Amino acid sequence: MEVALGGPGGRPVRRLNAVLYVVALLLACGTVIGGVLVWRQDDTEATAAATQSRYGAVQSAATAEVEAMLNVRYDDAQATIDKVLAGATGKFKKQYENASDGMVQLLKLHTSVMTGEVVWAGVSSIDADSATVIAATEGTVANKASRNQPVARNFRLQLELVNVDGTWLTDNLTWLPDNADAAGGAS
Amino acid sequence: MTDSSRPHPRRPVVGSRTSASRPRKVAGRAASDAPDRAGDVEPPEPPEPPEPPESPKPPAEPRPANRVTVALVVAIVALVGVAAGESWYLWLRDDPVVSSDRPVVTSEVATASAVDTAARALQKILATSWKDYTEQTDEAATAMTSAFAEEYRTTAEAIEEDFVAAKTEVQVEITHQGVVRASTEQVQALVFLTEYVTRNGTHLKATPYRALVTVVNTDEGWLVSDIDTR
Repeated sequence: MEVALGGPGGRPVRRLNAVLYVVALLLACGTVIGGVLVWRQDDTEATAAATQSRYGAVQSAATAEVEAMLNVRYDDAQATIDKVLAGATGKFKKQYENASDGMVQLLKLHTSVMTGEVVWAGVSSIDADSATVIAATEGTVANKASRNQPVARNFRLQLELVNVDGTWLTDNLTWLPDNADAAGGAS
Repeated sequence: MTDSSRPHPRRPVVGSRTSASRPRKVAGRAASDAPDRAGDVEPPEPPEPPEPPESPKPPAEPRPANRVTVALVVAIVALVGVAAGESWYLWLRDDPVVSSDRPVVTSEVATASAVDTAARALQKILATSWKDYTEQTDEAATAMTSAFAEEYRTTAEAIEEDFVAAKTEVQVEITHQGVVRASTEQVQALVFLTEYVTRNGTHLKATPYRALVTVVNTDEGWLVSDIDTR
């Protein structure tokens, strides 16, 4: 149906257009406000995602470092040493490097074979540059004392990690006392 | 066949409009509505040239008012679409899911609070005395979900006689705690603790433990739904 604007029938169209203008204006205002909210939400979520992703990166780095330490054989100790040093930095790296010769001798002396894995790794504190992780492990050790039969060895550890150019490296590692059955090291 | 069914003779097209709309003036006869004075003589009109055949009409262009209406409706539809998209983004999207890459999907404050709740609940559950064993069992159950509380009560009742007879007291010290996984619904906290046990007045050795405590978000707050001490 055609309604002429200029004629007497044009009024309904003008009224309709006026209503549509108002609706469009209100919607435009709403979408502008919504756009600002979306932008702010997106910004907040991006920051949160970056922060939360750190937990995964830190847990993964700590788990890799602990498992590198736990899986060691007297006849291939250098492979373990290389792996551990690759994930280490600072004072822990120096300490491990200094202790590695003695550790190799001890492993050979006792023909020790240790295996293990991280059961749980929990982040105690974290920021953009550093983190503290606690880890609980399960595993076995076999040596001359056990007549080369694997004996269960569980450990509790605390690691201090630092962010070095986007890579989380262990700066300090502490063996925490575990229950009587799990006490002691690989030797 | 009736007469009405017969095809009517076609009216002539050429010049038909002219003859119908403009009556001829006849000399010596005044038209009733004509301003011409009587007696004026008009020379006969030359026959009009035949009209060219009608070409198809071009489609009618929308009037300006209609164009504005259409434009407004289009704009409103587009704005409604944008508003719907914004609403979905702000309120209807799924929460991020816990994964190995992103084990924590809650704020640091909320996570720390839930982990702290889990550690305190573990202490409350494990620290017990023979003096008020039943009361402490009931108190500990308030920190658990109903399903886990039922499981806990079964174990607590099973050891109650020996526990009380040996005048056992268990004290618990939380030494370390950290978050393993955290979402708005569930948090798993790794807790390192040391347990000090006394039996018949004799202090036994301190025993370090590690426990994975799972707490779930309920109307009553964070409640323990599982404790794993492997």
